[in-house]
Amino acid sequence: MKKLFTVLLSFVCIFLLSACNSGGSGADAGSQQKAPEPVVNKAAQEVTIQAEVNGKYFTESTRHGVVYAQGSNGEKSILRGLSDEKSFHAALLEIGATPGENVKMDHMNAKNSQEGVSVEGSKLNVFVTWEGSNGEIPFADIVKATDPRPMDIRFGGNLAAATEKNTGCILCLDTCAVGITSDAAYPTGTSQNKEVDFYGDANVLPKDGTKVSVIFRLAE
Amino acid sequence: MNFVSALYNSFLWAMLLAIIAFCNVWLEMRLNPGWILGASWLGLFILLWLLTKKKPTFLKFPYTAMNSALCLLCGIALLGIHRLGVVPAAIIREGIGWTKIPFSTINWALGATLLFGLAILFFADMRKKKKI
Repeated sequence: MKKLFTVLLSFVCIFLLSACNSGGSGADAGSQQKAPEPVVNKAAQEVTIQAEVNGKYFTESTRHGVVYAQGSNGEKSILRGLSDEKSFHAALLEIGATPGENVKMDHMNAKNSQEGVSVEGSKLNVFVTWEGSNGEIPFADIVKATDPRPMDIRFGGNLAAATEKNTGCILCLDTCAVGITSDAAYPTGTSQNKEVDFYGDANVLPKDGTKVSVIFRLAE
Repeated sequence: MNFVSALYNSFLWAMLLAIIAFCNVWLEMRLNPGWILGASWLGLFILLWLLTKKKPTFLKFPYTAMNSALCLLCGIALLGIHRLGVVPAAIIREGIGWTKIPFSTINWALGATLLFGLAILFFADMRKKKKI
């Protein structure tokens, strides 16, 4: 009984420690400090955020491109964002981007993508850079899709839903009612009905844990 | 040693359960699979410990070795060799919330712990047989 009690106590301690460490879902104990603000360049009409590669999604599929590490979906994306989605939304407004605000939660229940809607809002060209990347790599190049289409990232907006759900979603790989930006090339219903699977491309991205910069540039 | 054996075997089953849950994309996108690992490890350990208190046969080394082999085969069947090098490490990493640790480090630690545990159980079993 004494041994059992000791084991139970150890499990409770481990659980409490990991719960404290987790914060949202993917944050380390060391990163509980304030999230770095997105860098706004009004002249170039671009917003840059820092992120880390999550190597889990080289082999597993996900619908999330970039998610803030301390959001509830912080560990569910190809890139683990280090800036929060609310600051990111504000930064996009600063560079003159217009949110679409056309995707509602009801649209996420589409039975298939034919019945789904595509996100509207300002078009953004998205790039990723890292030490040794040889310049800006288009975000489309770091993603492998089972049904590849030209990427069409739009500023969906969705600040109210993002604040309510607190998922941390910054860039979704198909149209989403919660992500601040998402890909209009894949309407709602695409990932919910498993029509397309998305992976990080290990042949393009650096290894798991590498710090990268993600640049969102307003398309002309 | 029955205590260690119960911990060891229940961990293997808990990891398998977490992997099965992980394979469900809907669950994986919504839950922390590390918590499934932790909760099922605790539950299975208590169950195994209570069930084998009077009859510790299933905690002896041959059963543990067979269990280890079977769990490994199940893991390979569910994930394939390549994903087996990522998914258990991802589950553990997400569970403890230390996302900076590389998968390779976790895999080394996990592999070493499991092998070391198996070795301890083997020698403990041998010692017990010699005493008899």
